Amino acid sequence: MSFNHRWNSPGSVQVTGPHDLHRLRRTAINPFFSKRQVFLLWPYILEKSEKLCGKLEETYCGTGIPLNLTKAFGCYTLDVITEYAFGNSYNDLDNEGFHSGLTAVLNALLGQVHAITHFPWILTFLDAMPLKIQEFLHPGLVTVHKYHKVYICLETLRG
Amino acid sequence: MVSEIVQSVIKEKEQNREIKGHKTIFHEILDSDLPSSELSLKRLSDEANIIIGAGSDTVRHALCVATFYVLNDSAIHQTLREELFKAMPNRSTTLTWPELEKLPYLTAVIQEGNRTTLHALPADKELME
Repeated sequence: MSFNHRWNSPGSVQVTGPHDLHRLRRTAINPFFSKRQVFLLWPYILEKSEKLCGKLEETYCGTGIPLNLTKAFGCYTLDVITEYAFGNSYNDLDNEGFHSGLTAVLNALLGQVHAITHFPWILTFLDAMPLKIQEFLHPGLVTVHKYHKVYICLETLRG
Repeated sequence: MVSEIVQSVIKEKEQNREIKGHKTIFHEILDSDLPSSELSLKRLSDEANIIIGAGSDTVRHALCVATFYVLNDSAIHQTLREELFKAMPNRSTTLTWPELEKLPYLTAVIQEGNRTTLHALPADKELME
């Protein structure tokens, strides 16, 4: 059984088996998760927190509208990590009702991790298909591909 | 999925351009001592995918679990509110990170939140009691 297919990201630190290689890759990203770095990027984290609080006050506070915290925190954490790590926030907190397609998909995909760990060929099989068929077989992928497209647009705009 | 971002950082570095916004994790990786075989677009994109998942879903879950336990117990809720109101009497006060770290009850709530979020824990009832 191999773990490196689990998330379909065999090149990442998390699934790197050999000790020395894992250490090498981990050391390269260590500074990014240091206290100093968190301190430097604190204003960005604070900005997202302010945005979340503002939205809660604006739409939910005292109105009796039920709040789905799983969704709200999903948008918040996704916005923080994409800003923190990539300097390019998804800005999902701006979405109506804290709807975040990617959080929903992450949850849906998490449910299949066990199966994929044992049957890695499922991913090889899916990857070999055209996008439209992938989306038919696994509707969650529509969202993943949509985010992919948004990114391409963003990058084109930025030049 | 995020290969476009990786690509733009690589290009930025190649052309020695100034960094747009703040430093990203890819600037850090490209500045490290990793051999060039470790810096392929595919490798860095894999890393990015895992960072998105690990950086958002784990924290989201921890926040949800901690919020539930705080709201579920009025004594905990009350004590936490009192500490926070004392530290930040009005909406416009914003504490810095080191200041927040000095709040004992908030720190305890965060630590307990992290602890109870671990899925393996409730499996052993005796450990919980």
